[in-house]
Amino acid sequence: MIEVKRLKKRFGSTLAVDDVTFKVEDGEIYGLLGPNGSGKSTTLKILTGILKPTFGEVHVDGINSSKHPNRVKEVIGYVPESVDLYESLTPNDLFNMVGSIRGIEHAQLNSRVNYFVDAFNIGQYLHQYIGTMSFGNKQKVSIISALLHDPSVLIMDEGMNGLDPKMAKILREILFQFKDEGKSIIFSTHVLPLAEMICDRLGLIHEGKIIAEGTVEELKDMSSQSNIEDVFLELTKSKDEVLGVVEALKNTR
Amino acid sequence: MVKILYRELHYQMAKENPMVSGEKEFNKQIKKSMDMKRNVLQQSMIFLLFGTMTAGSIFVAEDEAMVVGVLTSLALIPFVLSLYQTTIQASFLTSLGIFEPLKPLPVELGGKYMSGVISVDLIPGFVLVIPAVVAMVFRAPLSGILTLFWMIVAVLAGHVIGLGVFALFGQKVMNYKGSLSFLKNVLKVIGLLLFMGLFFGVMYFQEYFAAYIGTVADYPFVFPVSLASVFEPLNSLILLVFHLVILLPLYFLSLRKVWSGILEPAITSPGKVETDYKISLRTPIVSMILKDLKVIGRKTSMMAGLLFPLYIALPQMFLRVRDGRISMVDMTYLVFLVGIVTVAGADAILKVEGKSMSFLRTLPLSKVQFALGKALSMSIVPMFVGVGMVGLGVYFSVEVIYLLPLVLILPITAAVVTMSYLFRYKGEMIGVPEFDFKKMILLFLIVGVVFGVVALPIIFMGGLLKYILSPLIAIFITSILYLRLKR
Ligand SMILES: Nc1ncnc2c1ncn2[C@@H]1O[C@H](COP(=O)(O)OP(=O)(O)O)[C@@H](O)[C@H]1O
Ligand SMILES: [Mg+2]
Repeated sequence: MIEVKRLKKRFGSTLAVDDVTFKVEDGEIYGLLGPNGSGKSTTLKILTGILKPTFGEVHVDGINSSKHPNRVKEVIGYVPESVDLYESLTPNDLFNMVGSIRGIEHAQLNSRVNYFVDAFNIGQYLHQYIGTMSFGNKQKVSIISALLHDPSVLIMDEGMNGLDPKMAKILREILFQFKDEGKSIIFSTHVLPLAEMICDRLGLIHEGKIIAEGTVEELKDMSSQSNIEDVFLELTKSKDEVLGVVEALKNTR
Repeated sequence: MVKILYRELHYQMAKENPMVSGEKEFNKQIKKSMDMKRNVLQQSMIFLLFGTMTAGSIFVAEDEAMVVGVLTSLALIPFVLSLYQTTIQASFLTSLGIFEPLKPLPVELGGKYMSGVISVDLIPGFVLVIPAVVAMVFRAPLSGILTLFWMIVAVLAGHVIGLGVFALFGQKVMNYKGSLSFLKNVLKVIGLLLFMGLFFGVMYFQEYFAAYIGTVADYPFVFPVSLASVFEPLNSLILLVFHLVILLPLYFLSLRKVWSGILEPAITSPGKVETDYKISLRTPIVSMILKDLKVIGRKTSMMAGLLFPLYIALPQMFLRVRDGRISMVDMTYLVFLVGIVTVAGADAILKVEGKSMSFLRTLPLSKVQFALGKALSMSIVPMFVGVGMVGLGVYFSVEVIYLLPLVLILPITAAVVTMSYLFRYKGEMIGVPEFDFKKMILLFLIVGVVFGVVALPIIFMGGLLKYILSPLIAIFITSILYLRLKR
């Protein structure tokens, strides 16, 4: 369960997150949807305790993220937006390191690594240095290392990036399995069809504010648009703007 | 271009600096640390102060032999600083990905940018010797100017050797971890040592040649002892040109090699690929230490920064073994010296993290675990060096064995003092604190004072009890600092 109350985050003069409130229940997949720079990553980083809020409160499984960053990190699995793993370790080394720091038991770690390594089909890369792996494979390693401790809350920042369709489907299955186990999942994306496919509920974030929230159906009703892309454009008041750009592009050709 | 890269480097460093919390502070810090001129000026002032103190002795020295002695040892400082900075910064710059944006651009010899960014940090080391050069100009103008050029050679030599180490040992990429990788790492270290040893060997011939320095005809012609020639302008000029003729092509060669290595690292693959997961679980601190060692094992050039104690100990031990004289007082002094030098390893061991700091922050790792892991990682080399020294010493004088406890605890004490200082801020945030020459000198002083206290029993007590009491004091201080850090 994730509870975000009146969250604000200021970077110098930019207000990256502006009075955001939402809740993700157990067994729910919540999608944070918004254009580039709307404050998705910042919100998620505050949830994980990596960044401190300027104002407001954030609780994950009842733990205050800013007061107990390390306790919150124990229950969270976090897949960051950019994968900056130790390039000179192998996935095998990395999983062992993560397992040691998180105090995961021997047998459990072994079975989980083997499970995910099979699922994501990266067995042949286990002893390859991460620095020499492809972007998609690094992303898989990053995802696996976030799942090793069987987190009760999963936070993914653009987690589907770089995965091919087959892997994206497998990840989706894993997410649904998590959901069935009663875990909360929140992920950010600007890929609308994806959000539509997976999420129970969506929060539309624009310039640091949640401008609409609800199930896909509710959002569609709200704006009398038939597809989520148009809902999004209408709500962010950028529909006219986009149409203008499209027109301009046509004319210049 | 260099300015842009310098800004980028310091931006990245400020981002990982946990001391900087709060956005206002961050913006202030960024502005401050990206200001190239200000940083260089500030560091240079401190070095100028040190330099002025040494320059005095050139004024008052009576004969030329003495002046030459001072100059030779002085020239070693910019040389060693340049070597040290170059090897560490080169790996650090590449691991931060500073050059990534340059890759798609049509740059010729991009290595010069790396050299440029590193050179900025070499300026303070050079400034250190300026007062001595000035003093020399007053003594004998022509010799003074030659001295200036020799000092440039000192910086250049360190820089070129550093780039060479990086090009030869820091850039090979093996994409799979082979079963022989441990052995290969050991071989790499030995190769690195031989490479460095070559130059340090030459350097310490200085003492050997000291006897000849008076009779000018016999001075040796390799840096730094070649400085002995400055009072013979013509000979000196010939030697100088000879050095440049060797160094400059080497410089351009290593720039080329460094850049091609950045563009496309050489890749070697072992034949058979393993696909099984091999489990090995440890305590968080131990796993952090092993991670540090693995990363450093792959970035051999970074190791150059960690091997500092070895550069200090090897030649000293060499001289003593050669003379067959190892006294207890002497050894005690060396053991404390190696302990203090542990501080220098902090830079390398913190910079191991590079960009991966953001990954570590996603794990529930406490500040004390992180700091203690780093402290222990940086103690390993000086501990081995110390044990080696004592082992060697015991051959000559059995009582040296009493120093064993000190050899084991002093590096840890120095490292824990260093980390307690660097991580003294409140809160659990982990990161890579800023560590520049200013802080290094300050830490040398602090550790010096702490060691002074530890050494009290050895200085003032008789009997063997002092060899137990002294390590106990060290353990006591270390534990207190540890508990403070934990709070
Ligand atoms: N470390 C930072 N310093 C200053 N501004 C930042 C920082 N991180 C994010 N921002 C700003 O905050 C806003 C939201 O960024 P972000 O949360 O990364 O957006 P998103 O993930 O939705 O693309 C942007 O305007 C961005 O420029
Ligand atoms: Mg983002």
